[in-house]
Amino acid sequence: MTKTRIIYHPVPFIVRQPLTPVTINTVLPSHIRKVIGIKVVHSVGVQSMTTAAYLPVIGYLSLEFNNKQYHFGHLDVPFDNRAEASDAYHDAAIDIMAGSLLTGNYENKVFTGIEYQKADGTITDKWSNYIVTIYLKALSDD
Amino acid sequence: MIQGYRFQKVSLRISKSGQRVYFNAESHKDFSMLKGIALSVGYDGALFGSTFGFRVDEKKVLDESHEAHLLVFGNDVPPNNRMLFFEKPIPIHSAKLEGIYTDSALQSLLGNISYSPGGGVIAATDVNVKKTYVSGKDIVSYGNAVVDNVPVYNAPINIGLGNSSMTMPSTGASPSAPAPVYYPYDVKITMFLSR
Amino acid sequence: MKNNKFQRIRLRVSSAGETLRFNAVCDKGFRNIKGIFVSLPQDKAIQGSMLGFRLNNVEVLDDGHEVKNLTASNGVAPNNKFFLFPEKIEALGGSIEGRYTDGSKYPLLVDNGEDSGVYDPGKVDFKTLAGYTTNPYGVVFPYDVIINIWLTNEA
Repeated sequence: MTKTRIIYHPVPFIVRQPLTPVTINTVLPSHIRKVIGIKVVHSVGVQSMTTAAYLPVIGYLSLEFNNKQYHFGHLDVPFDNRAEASDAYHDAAIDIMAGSLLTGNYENKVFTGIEYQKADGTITDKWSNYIVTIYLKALSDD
Repeated sequence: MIQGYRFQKVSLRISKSGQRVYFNAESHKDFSMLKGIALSVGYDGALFGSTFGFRVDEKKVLDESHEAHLLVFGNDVPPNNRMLFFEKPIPIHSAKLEGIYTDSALQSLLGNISYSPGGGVIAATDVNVKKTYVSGKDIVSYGNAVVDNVPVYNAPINIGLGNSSMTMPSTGASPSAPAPVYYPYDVKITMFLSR
Repeated sequence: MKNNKFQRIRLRVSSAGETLRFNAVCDKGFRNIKGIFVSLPQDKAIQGSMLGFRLNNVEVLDDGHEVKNLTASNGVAPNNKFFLFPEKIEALGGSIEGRYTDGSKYPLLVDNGEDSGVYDPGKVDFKTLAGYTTNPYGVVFPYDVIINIWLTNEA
């Protein structure tokens, strides 16, 4: 009998430009058997571009599992700089093929104006790189 | 009266920005299940970008890059829900519990330019700056603790390292005043055990 | 006959960092302690404060248990404000010995020289208050702590 246990697997990615989508392409660890929950959070960075403690959407994320065979759909990524954490994960039940890819795209939706990225593509000092983390609640058999 | 549950606690003191503190402890011998975990951190401002990794018997439960603020619950959450509960309780039999807390760990990654221009997935090796878990079964008490002093960044918010080719905002925009963080501060880890 | 009762214990905290010991006897006629809710008049006083108690000499909450986890804001529905114990705790007129520690000295924590960062919470680890004209959190003293203990006869 294989024993599985719960783990939380973060996949952080960095956003370096307001207008260029971020491509996500990473191999999940082979001990992950099944994803049972997904949560996407802003980690750090955006707080230095805004005085707001909460923005409902800073970007859109699409995610695919199992070498693009399973499309999880699109998620809004909020910015929440308030201390209260939420335990809420989107429920999922995705059996993971060993060694398969997690892929997707992230499109930034905030601070896209000319004052953040000039017409020639250079980034101004008003822009701050930021990190978004995808948390996978998963069953692992390692 | 025999209690069927216990809140096992470990306290850490973070003395400076960017400090990394490792602890290990043995789970209480009378309890066989670990059902949940929660952190309590001295200052809200210290939560963002700080990380907490957790292992049981050398098996990873929370990655070292797991954000501390996801394990802290506020006063607006009913008291019985203030924990990350594991769907499947983790079996423990005098198990080795290990944790590693890193103050403002993620801020140090923001200036990383080794990704494609748009950005991309941060490799686990970048986040887990050093292999800090101590392997081997010889360590069982609180007395054995390891601290790494990673370079000190200006917590709570710091953007960019010196080698960045981009200019990072220093006074640009009008960043929200971060909640202040004073050092030292305490991190309390509460683990919910049951028989 | 009533099946539930909220027994109150009121403590007055008069200075920063004060530790108060208290004793009480559970109201007879109720079988179990179901939950606890600690009410503080100032949010600032919650951070760092601790409450532990023993019932008939058995530890129910250790002295380092954070009050933070035994209270709730008005954003929580009244029926969810209590911390409900994960199991029934037999009360039956038992005696309670408790200890409340004010947490407002928290900002005066010192780096207590333990390089490990892991420390024994039993150690004294505060700077002296000398030189501080007010307590750093701005907690107003005295204040009253009300400990509500939910007694029940329900199975």
